Amino acid sequence: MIKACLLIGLLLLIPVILGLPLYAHAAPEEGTPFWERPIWCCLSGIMLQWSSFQLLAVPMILLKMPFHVLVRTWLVFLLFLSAAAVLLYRKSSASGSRVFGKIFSGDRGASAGSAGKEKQVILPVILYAAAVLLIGYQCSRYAFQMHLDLDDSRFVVNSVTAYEHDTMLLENPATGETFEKPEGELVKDAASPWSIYIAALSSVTGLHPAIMAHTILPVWILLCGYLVLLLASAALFPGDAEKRAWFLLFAAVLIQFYGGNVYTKGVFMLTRIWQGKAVLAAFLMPWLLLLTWVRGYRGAVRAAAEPRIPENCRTVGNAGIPLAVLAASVMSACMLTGVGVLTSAAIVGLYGLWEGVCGRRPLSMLRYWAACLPAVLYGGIYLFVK
Amino acid sequence: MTEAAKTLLSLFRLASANSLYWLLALAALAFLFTEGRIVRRHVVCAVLFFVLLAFNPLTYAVVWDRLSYANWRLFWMVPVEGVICFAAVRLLGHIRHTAGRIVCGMMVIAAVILCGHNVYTTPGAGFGASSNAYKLPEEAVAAAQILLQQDPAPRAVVSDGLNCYLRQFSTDIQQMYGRDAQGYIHGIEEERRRVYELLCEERPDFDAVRTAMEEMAYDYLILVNVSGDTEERLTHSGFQRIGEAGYFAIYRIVS
Repeated sequence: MIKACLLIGLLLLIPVILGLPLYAHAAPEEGTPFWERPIWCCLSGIMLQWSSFQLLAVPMILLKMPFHVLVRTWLVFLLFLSAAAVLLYRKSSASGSRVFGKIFSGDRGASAGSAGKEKQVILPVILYAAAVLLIGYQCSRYAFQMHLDLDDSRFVVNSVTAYEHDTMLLENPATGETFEKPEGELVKDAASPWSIYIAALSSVTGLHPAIMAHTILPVWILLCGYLVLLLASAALFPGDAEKRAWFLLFAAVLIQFYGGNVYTKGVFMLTRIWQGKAVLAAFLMPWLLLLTWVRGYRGAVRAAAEPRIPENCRTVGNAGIPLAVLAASVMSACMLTGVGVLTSAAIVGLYGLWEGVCGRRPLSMLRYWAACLPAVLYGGIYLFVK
Repeated sequence: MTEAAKTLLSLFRLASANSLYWLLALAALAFLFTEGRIVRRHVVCAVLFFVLLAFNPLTYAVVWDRLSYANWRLFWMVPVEGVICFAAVRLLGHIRHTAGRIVCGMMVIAAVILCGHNVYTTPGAGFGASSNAYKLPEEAVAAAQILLQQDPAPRAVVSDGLNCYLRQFSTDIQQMYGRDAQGYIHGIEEERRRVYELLCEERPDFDAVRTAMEEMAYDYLILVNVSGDTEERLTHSGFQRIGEAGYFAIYRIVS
């Protein structure tokens, strides 16, 4: 019971708290479904949580500090950030209850009334139910079945080593031989310590890293990946529940059938999502695309419909996303895998170029490029350690 | 530049698994091109802008090839699923009647299923029944527990089939080579590689294996499918059987 509470706290509660002040002050857009804002809060909070871990873990790994020092420091840092988030949230609103209403406000869908309006509710509900069933099936595979992958002989073993021996990336995962500093393929993990993050979750909850990696995290991250697609549907089809439901259903089917060999995104997403590169494919890449290109499209649609768009402070370009979230997302991608350093910079940097060249918004371009600085930093660290 | 283009094409084939989804995505972009100025500019042109800049041979040769590895993963950046789903929903939006949209939606789903390959039946991507909470082979958990009962920090030579899983259960177990023998993770010293090669032979020289194990202070040996003749030779070379884990047998060096 205690383990379950700690798990829910770390994976859900703290991210929601961290994400609350980011969007509290922004007025909901017309046609925004009521569930959209809480999901934005949660996923943005996950980015802040992961980036806070990355910020602490990389220097501590390079300084060869004990693992328990990292875990305790991170927890204190998280508590501090959560307290700051709550204070900021209260400060940005006149009263807690009114802002709470703001967070969950938005279009609640067609109200009961005429038969035509009722049909509008029924079909989306059926479509969402079908999508939920399919996603539930995919989650159940992770929860109740087992997929063996040889790459876990490095990733999961790195987590178990930190969990059992209190050292970070100073043991060869294949043999147990100790190193003076990260060597071989562990060099990549020094700048992208996703496996150490899994160990940290295990350390706090008391669950063995193999259980955390093979059962708990896959279900959670797969759901996060689909929440990103849900947000994308809301951005692409505001005010239309049926279209959003169709989008989610199509996406779930498409991902399930995106197989053929072991190199496709679908295979990584549905069979080995606990590995950093798979989290990148399933969650971070779609999230970064959502923050940039999808939200940019949404901004363009709004700008065409409403020539005077209300300004959100500290937001980036036409997307209405706080710069802190974008930078934290790039940093989180760096935490997952070395490829995340490059792909996050590519997705965000190229969108910045698009904003600057095609959108004629040079300031916006600079802001997007500023968000890529974590990728430059961690890329440099990787080259330095190598 | 030609080499970079060829490499890009081969990487694309890996990432796409030769499925028709990329063709579907192209068709989706062609359809979206007719969907008005905003969609044309902010979806079609944006996707093409991104793909052309990120995946041309020059970018590959100058950036990706120098800084990255396993570059087929870069193609995951391309939002194939998003483009197809967006276009499909926009297509449905042109159908006024609900029944028509449902029929069309089912046809889209059928097309997606027919053009793709089920992930769960893809070779190498399957799931099996889970026999323990760690989601590790039961033999690995059993072998690890046997070793840890013998010794709090056992040092073992473990055959392929098990050496990638033992240390996922407990890193108190040390191995002579693990996956290093296949060239992953870290380099392997000559004497360890020699032991690995000895054990890969049809009739391993267990005397040589024992000598190498004693020199490097390894006490346990785990082998697969040990037959009667092999059992005798192991006993003759000074190995005592201490347990079994599935079809793996666990031995200890006796003095």
